[in-house]
Amino acid sequence: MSCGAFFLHTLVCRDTCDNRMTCSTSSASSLDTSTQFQENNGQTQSTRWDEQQKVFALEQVCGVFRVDLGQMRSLRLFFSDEACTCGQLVVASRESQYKIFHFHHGGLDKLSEVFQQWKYCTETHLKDQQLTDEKTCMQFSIRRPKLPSSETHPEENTYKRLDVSAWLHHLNESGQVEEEYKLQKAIFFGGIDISIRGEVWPFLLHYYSYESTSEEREALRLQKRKEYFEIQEKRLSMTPDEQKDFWRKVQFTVDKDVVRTDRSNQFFRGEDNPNVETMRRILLNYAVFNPTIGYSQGMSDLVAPLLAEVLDESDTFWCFVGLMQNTIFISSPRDEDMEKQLMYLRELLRLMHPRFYQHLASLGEDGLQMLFCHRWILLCFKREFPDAEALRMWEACWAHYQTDYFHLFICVAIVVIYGDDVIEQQLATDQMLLHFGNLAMHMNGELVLRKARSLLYQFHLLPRIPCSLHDLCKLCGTGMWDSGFIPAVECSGHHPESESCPYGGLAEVSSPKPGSEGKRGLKTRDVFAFRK
Amino acid sequence: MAKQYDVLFRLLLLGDSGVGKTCLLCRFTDNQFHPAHISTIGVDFKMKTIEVDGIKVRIQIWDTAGQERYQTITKQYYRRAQGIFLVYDIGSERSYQHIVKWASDVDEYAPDGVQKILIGNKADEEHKRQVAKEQGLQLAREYGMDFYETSACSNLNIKESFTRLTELVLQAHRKELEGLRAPPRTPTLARLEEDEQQPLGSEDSPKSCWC
Repeated sequence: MSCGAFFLHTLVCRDTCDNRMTCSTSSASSLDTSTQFQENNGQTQSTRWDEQQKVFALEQVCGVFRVDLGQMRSLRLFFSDEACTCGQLVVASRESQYKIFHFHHGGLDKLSEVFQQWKYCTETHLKDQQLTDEKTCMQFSIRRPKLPSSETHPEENTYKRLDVSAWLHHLNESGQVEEEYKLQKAIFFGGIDISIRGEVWPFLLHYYSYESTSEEREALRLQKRKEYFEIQEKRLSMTPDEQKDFWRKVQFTVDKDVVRTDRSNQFFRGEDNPNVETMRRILLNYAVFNPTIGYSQGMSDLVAPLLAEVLDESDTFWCFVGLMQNTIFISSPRDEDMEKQLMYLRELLRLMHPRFYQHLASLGEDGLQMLFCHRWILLCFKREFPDAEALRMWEACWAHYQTDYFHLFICVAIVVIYGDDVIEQQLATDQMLLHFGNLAMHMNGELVLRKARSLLYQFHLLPRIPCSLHDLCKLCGTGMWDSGFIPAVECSGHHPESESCPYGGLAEVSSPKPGSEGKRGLKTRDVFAFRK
Repeated sequence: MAKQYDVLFRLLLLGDSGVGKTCLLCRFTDNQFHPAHISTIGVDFKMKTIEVDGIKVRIQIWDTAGQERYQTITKQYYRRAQGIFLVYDIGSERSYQHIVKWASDVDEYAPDGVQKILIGNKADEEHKRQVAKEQGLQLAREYGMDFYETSACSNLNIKESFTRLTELVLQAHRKELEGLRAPPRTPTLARLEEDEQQPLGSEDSPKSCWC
């Protein structure tokens, strides 16, 4: 469990609830922390400082914690299975401290019943629109893993995971990928079976071209291996001065990072694991190969899963080169690239989740910086989801199906699914960071991916898109709009130099003033009425 | 219900990657130590409430990436800090030399009157020492900072250094905090939380009752 200790004292869970709670926790055998709910006969006492400290000490020693549900900010149940018995219970305190319980083997359904019967939760939930009493801050919600059909991509479930036989089906006799678009689409929806990731990823990462034959690929591998070792040779034959400089700029940080990257992964586990050394060489050689980028923290996080799947050192290196070149959000760590990503994300949120956008805007510049999602973008969700799910997301992004910016749709999906607290409780910038930070590794990746695919579909249906998002589709190649109309592009007036907007003229036709996006804003919301 | 704290401060951990910023933080807030912690990407923070001089101070400690790729954002959290830990690793001459660079960043981006403290971490690894304690003291004197050698691993001077910086920040804001020690507490106590946004402020106002 990755959650801070609770800072809470008494529990006001009445006896009826308390009894049921006991029975349901015992049936939920997988509760990570033993939960002890204490009864307090409804008395409220303001616990003194030193008593709090004692509770703190108890928590730390025994892993026991008590929580006054009446004092909580929110209680949310996220079911992860179709039957709705497993999943997570997320309790958030008013001070943005979170406890997350995992129910791997069922039992959450029983707890859910208890909470639903618990008058307090339901009553306050129903009334929280009207009442101003503070109790109403308690949010209670249940999320099921299925999206309503109106929120699902129509082609969802039409693709199974790409396994060996399906993969071979995509190749012709000489080993060329016949129709890359079909392959990309299959991967976008279904992902790739673990057993053939090492074989397919090099295509997605542009190490192998889709047109290459098996023979050509073998020749390429040999040639690239030679090239790789030449790069390594260059690194090893530096002059002492160059070496010193290289150590200072690159090696020092690489050495620090490789030993703390993915060490819980079987592939890198244990003392003196040779794979850690391989990862180190790849990163050092990359810095020699591309001195402009050199080494940036986070690159070890990206290369590690590649090595663990591709296995061969030289192949992994060239896949990594492809990854760095082809993923905009990783390739150049300059400020303007990140700014661009954040700008697109803000605009997508404005279109697709206006309530959330308005909340960000109400926080001013700090809110619009969206600190909470920087790591999502920099590491492509690697720290937000367990490896199995994160790598599915990577594949879906690498498929470049209809957009090069699918990762931004994933960001929006996370916000749509897990951001209700933020809006309902008007969380400030810091608390938003804490909110999403605490959800890291506890979110349902499959659900998020499905939602993201549906969001892309909805985006695709838009009759008009703001000029701010025009470039989002520029590089998408075939696919994005080829099956239907092309949306009109309108000046949204959301860029500083609106007079230089090539779509300013277009905006004039439909609306008298560029920048008067209020009217259009309404229209856009209509289009996205599928949300609630 | 009584408020759980009187005042809130933001402290910032700065220093080269791998000097142990995240470990210092985890030791202080959770009393845990994981030697092979993952590198920090982006920014993260943890909170803890401590009592200094009869005042319950909630400190929000921001943990930063030793190598920040996205500079624009750095300015944002510098600007909001009231206290700063400049951290180096006693086993790394390089991280010690870089303190100069970190300190100049602080001068550039942090608000005037920000309190600073110098930390030489990993003091338990005496066999790897490259920076003498005297060098740390010397540098701290030059900058007019307090200095601690700490070890997140052996829990040396962790509480002391965090408490010390909190005290310094409290002293620096003494004027704004006058009357804080005199109970009963009044709603004005949350003055320093102004930028915490309305909802929190109103939730935390002492007259609120959650019973």
